[in-house]
Amino acid sequence: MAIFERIPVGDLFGKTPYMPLHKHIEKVNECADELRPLVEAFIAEDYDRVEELANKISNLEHEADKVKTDIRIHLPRRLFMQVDRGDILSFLKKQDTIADKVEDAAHLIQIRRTKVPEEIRDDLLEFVDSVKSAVDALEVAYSELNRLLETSFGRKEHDKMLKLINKVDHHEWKADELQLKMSKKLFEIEEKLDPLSIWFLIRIINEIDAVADYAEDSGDQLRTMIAK
Amino acid sequence: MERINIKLELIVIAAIIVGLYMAWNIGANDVANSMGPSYGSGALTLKQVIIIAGIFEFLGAVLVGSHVTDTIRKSIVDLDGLIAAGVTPDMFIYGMFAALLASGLWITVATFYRLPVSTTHSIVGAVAGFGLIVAITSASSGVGDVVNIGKLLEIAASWIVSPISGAVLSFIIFMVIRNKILDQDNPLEHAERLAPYLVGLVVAIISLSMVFKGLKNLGLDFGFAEALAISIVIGIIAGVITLFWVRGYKPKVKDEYQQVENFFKYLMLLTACYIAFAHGANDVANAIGPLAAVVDVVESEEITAKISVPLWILALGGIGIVIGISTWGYKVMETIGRKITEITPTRGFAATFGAATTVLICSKLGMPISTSHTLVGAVVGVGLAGGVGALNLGVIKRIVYSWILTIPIAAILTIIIYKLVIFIV
Repeated sequence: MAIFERIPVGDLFGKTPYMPLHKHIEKVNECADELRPLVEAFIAEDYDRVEELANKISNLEHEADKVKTDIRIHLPRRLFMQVDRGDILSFLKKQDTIADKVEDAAHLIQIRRTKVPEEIRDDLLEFVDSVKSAVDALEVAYSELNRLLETSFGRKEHDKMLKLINKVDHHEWKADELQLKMSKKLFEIEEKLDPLSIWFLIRIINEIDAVADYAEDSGDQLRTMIAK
Repeated sequence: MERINIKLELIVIAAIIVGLYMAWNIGANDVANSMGPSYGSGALTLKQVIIIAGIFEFLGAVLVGSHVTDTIRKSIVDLDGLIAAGVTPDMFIYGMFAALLASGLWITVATFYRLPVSTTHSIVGAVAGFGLIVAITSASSGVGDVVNIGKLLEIAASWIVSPISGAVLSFIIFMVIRNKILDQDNPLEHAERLAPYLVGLVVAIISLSMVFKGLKNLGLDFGFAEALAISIVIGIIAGVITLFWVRGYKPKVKDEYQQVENFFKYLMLLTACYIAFAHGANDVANAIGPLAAVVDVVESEEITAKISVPLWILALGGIGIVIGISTWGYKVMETIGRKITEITPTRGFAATFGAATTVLICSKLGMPISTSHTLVGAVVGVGLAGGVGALNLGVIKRIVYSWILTIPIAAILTIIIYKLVIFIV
């Protein structure tokens, strides 16, 4: 380590948040990975497994939080960046909420032994897959950011990235459709169910749908980030 | 008479030692900054950077270094003005030695405190300080009679203009790379198409700087038109060679942008030579300018700078720089390299090209400027074109502060040392 040095050119370079942001979306997506097993255990009424998965989700959410805090600390105001600092922080916040919503859904499933009626089971699994696809699409879109920065916002890469972000919206829309379908079905068979179960199921479905909503919001923020 | 000569010889030896130290410090720190992007982008290994820097800093110093050296030794203070103010050859020698020593001391302190001070600013402030004390102690001469204020203002203006010029040139070059290469389908093909022009341009500029008024030491002296013609021919030859080389070029990776970056590593080899050459040409004067003045006066026994800067003095400066690189500069380069891993070869090429072109033109015009500051400007230029991830613009503020500090401190130190030397002698 040299001490006797003058290095204005070296000091000029700051650390970019893009790699840590990528680590963050990875952690968030790891949370979302557990949604399908969680819902499967929920349907199978395997409450030990539900407990185990809810704890796992909680830990992953905490890890994502740590990455988030780290990014915030290392993003000083004086840095001059290709992407607006405020846009990055909003994106980070929205992306972090995805993991929060997974955790919220897990808690709802965890606190009450609600039975999932036969009639919506297939739809519920398809719904969960759509939600997960939305988060996956977000991660894929974000991964393209590196290439966009590499071309310093070339039109070609910009268009490519916008198309990838559109996929997030598509999966979110599909999840919304399934949510509506399941809600209708629940009320069609309302005589068979106790009101509290309906209320819980609706809430759980809403909470899982919020995961896709925030993936869409993050995608929107990503659009703002790369708009030049 | 004998006694005085021994004293003068001692001063010359001391000036050589201090000059060598300055050259060492330039090699240790400033070269590392100039080569930062070449190494940090991963285009060159540390060994390659050191070899290129060693060779081309030396060549730049010897072949083009005399212009800025002339500015330092005879344009900041007016030699006739000094004589009119009653300065004897001995006093002139002490004064120039004081300027060199003051500059060396301030650079040492600044380096310890990591201030982004420029050796250029330091030596200019120091020599001006010598002029100032002569004017103050002389009854008949004012500051304007001794210090060439017009020239000083011109130099000060060049310190503001050079980083801006670096920024503008690098911005343009990077925009060309971005629009004509990166934003195209099949970017590597476009990079290969553009490469012969880029290589030809760089080679032509370097050749022009050497051929035009640069080879007097080798007994060759061309006018501008001839020099331009020769340089264009050399540039075209380089371009054609590149054309053939490109035909045989096979990318080793699949990712299309990585292909372009890898391709630019080869072009960076050229800009690395370019900036080392330009830097040697400009900064060698900071170490040996006053030494050249001293030697001239000792030999002719009057205050004059009629003969051109002796080759051995330029070579001495060049050697000092090379020693600086190999004994300390490589460590500083490693530190810088670790800090700027986010720069890629396309960005490094643009920044280095902009800075080197600015520095080389200034060297030919005899303008002593700071290469590091120019390169900082050039990197900011690439950043403004959206090419750099995150820039810490606080550095610019620190540069401005150091700039404002350096001039008076170097001048005052020179005055103190000069008075001490006169007192002791």
